[in-house]
Amino acid sequence: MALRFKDILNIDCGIRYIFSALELSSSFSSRVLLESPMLQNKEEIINAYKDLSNLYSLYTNNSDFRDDVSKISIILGELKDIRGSLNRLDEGITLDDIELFEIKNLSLINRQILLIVNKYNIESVSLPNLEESLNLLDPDQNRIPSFYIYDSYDVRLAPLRKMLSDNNRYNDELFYKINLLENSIRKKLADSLLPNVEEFRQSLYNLANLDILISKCKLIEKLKLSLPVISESAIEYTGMFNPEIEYLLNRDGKEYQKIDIKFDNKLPLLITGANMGGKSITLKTVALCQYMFQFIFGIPASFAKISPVDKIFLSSGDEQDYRRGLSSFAAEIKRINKMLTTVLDGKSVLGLTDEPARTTNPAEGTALASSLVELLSDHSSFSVITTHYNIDNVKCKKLRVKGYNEGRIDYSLCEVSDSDAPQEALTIAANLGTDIRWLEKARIKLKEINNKK
Amino acid sequence: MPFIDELLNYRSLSIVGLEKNTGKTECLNYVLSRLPLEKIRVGVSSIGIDGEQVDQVTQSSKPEILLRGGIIFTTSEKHYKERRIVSEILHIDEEETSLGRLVTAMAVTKGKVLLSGPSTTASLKRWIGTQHSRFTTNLTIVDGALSRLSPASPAVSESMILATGAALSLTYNELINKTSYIAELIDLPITKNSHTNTLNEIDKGIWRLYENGDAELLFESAFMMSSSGSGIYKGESMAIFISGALTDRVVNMFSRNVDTNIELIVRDFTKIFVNQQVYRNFIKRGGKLTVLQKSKLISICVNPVSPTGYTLDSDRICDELQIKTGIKVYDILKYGS
Repeated sequence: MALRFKDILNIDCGIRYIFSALELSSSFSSRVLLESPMLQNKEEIINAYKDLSNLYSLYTNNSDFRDDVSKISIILGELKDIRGSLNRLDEGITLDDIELFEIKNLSLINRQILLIVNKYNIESVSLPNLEESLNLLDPDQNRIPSFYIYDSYDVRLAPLRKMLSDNNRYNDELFYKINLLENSIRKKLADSLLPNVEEFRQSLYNLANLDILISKCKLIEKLKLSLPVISESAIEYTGMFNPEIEYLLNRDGKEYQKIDIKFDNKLPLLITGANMGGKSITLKTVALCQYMFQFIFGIPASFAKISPVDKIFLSSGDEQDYRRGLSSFAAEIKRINKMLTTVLDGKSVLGLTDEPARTTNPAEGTALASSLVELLSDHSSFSVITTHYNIDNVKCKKLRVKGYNEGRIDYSLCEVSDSDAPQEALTIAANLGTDIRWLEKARIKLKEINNKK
Repeated sequence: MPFIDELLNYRSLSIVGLEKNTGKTECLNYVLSRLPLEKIRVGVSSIGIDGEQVDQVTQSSKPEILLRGGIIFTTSEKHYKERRIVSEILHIDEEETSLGRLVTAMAVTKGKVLLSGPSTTASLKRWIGTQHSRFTTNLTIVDGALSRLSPASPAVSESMILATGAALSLTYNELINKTSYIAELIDLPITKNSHTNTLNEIDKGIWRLYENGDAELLFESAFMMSSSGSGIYKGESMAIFISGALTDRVVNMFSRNVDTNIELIVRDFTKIFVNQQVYRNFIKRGGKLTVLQKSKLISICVNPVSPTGYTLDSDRICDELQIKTGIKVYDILKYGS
């Protein structure tokens, strides 16, 4: 079973923020998006991005289309989930007025949108012509969204109905007579609509997809996203940012520092650096970008080059699985193990692991972390691991958070050659206003430990 | 024709029954059959599930709503399918109720329909709004249950008709007393407190409102309230907003601890569950009870027949109630629906 959009909403990487920032017109479209599967196939992703980028360039370059998009959004606001009614039609059931109204409404929306999109060449949206069905459901050609069994369906209806209204007392028998006649008309209507059921479905899904595409275009503009370059062996971001965190920082009057990061599927990337250096955010944002890529969104970076993977693993290390009675260590090891075995099975994986084995003693922790990196370096995968441990003599690419610089944290990443993890924890602790007596003692202890080495 | 002309001055009307079988539906039918449809567009719905053909509690028969061509009505999918009227669907709301989505349609012929509608105050308010904006109705009528269980409050309508009768009590005194008490509560003044706009948003707790615009949360809920009270409020004048139900306990606690100038503010009269005696004591001690929103009570309708078949003297009830409340009182059955 492929991963669906709704499955990733609770992943703590900021994807829910993206979802809620989407301005979908119809709640049906949001249902379609939530049920959509994550794309893994490179060709599929390329084609899907072609659709998005075509619509986006129309949206940004053609002011007529921009005006029409607001019209489209208003019309699509009336798009309803009528899959149930279509299924009933498909089963040969005689539809009632509510269901016929829904189908008429869909046909009307389809017609209105067709009139607009036909002005432009939009390949991604192929709407059927439902004029024939619409004429059936709108015999008087009023073209307004309302429905009942109109008088013009049968000459006998009007006089009967007049009698029902003119009678001083309500006449049940008369009503049932009318009802019987109406039902035979409904049956005929359903029979004539039945051959078009697939066209209705095509219309419904294409309208929802148009809604989704438009909202993605708006999102690109709103959050300043960019369309990615598709690769097979590398992942590279310039000016990558996390929209949710950027929003939170801006709200507090702070600025978000965008970062550059680049890695491939040959060597794992090891990120070291000070606490509070943004390592965890970087991992989460890389996960966010990957999900947005495989669900065909604009990417939060000024430049993005991304390779599709089969599976994405984000282990932030700080979650406990108390419902299953697992300590934070056990939950973490299980999660990392799942990632590792998927890699060893030869699947293409993006594995993002935040400080593996951080909660145990440094000796064993270092052993677990460095052996993990070593295993990963022997197999092909996109792996990023952050750590405070000193990991030596392992084939991997290393980046370090620049860290403290003139009293401020520089979150950008730089290449390192030395193996030792930087020692900035005490500086940061001091900046947090930690008691001087504790810090003094810690400095002495640190000197002892470093000398021993 | 009693009170029909006055209805035309308002954009929305709710018809509220004090008890089941107090003739609310007859009253609604009476109004619907007499409104000048050639002049105005009328929309009608109900709060929650209502209009069952057979009363679910007493198993006595309940009259259906009789509509004429041109009236716009909203009901649930289930009841729409059971309609006995030719009608044109205009809109289907996405919001689900326990009986399905809400369908709005226009009656094409005369006919009968079971009404069920929005079940929360917010959706009721929204519904009244869309009736005016989307279907350009001039008057929107809500068949409003005054059930203690209904979360939707009919007080969102501009005007109101109260239905009472023998089903409420078979004793004249009690019937008149209870009815006039409710009429008095419906007529409680709207607060002049400057906080009104923010109070609409608050849905929890008991708050003290200061003149400088501050609000202090006194209790999370009436359950958290200590009934002993320390008398700390003695001598201070104060305004209190009760976001939920106003009960005897809350009133007593403030009566006991505040000696002058207290104003209790509730959302609307349906939130007041205070014994008449407790209310009178509170007022006598100088207390003030106000609301955030109110409807103008236009008239009281009386059904003198109880569900058990006993009939009270309708003239006596009408006269006494009219004197006591100062509001026009009618026996709708007498005028005929």
